[in-house]
Amino acid sequence: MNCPLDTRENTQLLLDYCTRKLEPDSVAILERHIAICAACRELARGQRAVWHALDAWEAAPVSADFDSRLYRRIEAQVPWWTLVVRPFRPPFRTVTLWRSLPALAMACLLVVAGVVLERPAGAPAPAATDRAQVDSVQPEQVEHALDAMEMLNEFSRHVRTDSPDSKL
Amino acid sequence: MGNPGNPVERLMAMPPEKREQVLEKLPPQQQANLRQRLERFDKLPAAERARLNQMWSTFNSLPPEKQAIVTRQMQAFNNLPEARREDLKPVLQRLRRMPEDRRNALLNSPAFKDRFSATELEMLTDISQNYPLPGR
Repeated sequence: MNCPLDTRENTQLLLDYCTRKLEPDSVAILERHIAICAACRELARGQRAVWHALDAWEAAPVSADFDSRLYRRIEAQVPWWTLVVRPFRPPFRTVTLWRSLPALAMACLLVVAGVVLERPAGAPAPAATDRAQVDSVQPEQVEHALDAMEMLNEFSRHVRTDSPDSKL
Repeated sequence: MGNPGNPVERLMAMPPEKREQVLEKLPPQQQANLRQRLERFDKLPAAERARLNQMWSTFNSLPPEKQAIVTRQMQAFNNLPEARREDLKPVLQRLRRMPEDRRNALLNSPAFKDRFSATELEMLTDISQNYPLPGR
């Protein structure tokens, strides 16, 4: 066989050999080559040393209450408006609705207060608000964020075999 | 789906005329280029867009100096020859999952020093330390 280090496909063969992913037939062919090729022998030795070191570490098992803690954290991050409207979501549950009436009344009050307080004579003119909205995003920030997402996406595609190939 | 902190999402959420006003701050060629990129972003499936937003969010939460390190090393990783990248990929992924002490011990081990160049070791170190996989 040709030296695996000379071609891209066969280099992968050598890496697969080191991670024991090869079929027995290919293993036999490659081992015959490794026996006579110092460069491949050295690469295989180095690769095995790395995997040996990596294999010595095992990830800690997930704790028994992992799920419940996760859900508690997610729950704690629910936005306030979700907490306000949640009791009203299941339709026709009058008991829940009765219990929730004070919260509903409070929510209405807040909305009304918000509308009243946001519309005094000194409120910013619509043009100024529009200007502020436009100024709140700078095109350079947008370019920068797109650059970052493209780089992260490319990295993610390279390191994960199962990640989708984004069209970004 | 959108990430309100992401300037791209903030721009996409604007009414078209306001979005235009933002884009018009750029020179014409740059505007055209950015419009194309935004169009591609807008056409992404929702799940893909959410995934990109999530990655951006994680990256953006890093202090600026770490963002600079991660950017430099990820670009270097992305530009590696494919064969070398394939070689580093599983190692990098394992390192990103490890606790810091174990990772440091491995990165300083003779096995790693024999196998990887100083530049590659720095790349493995910088990415796995500053952009680890989400913890358990």
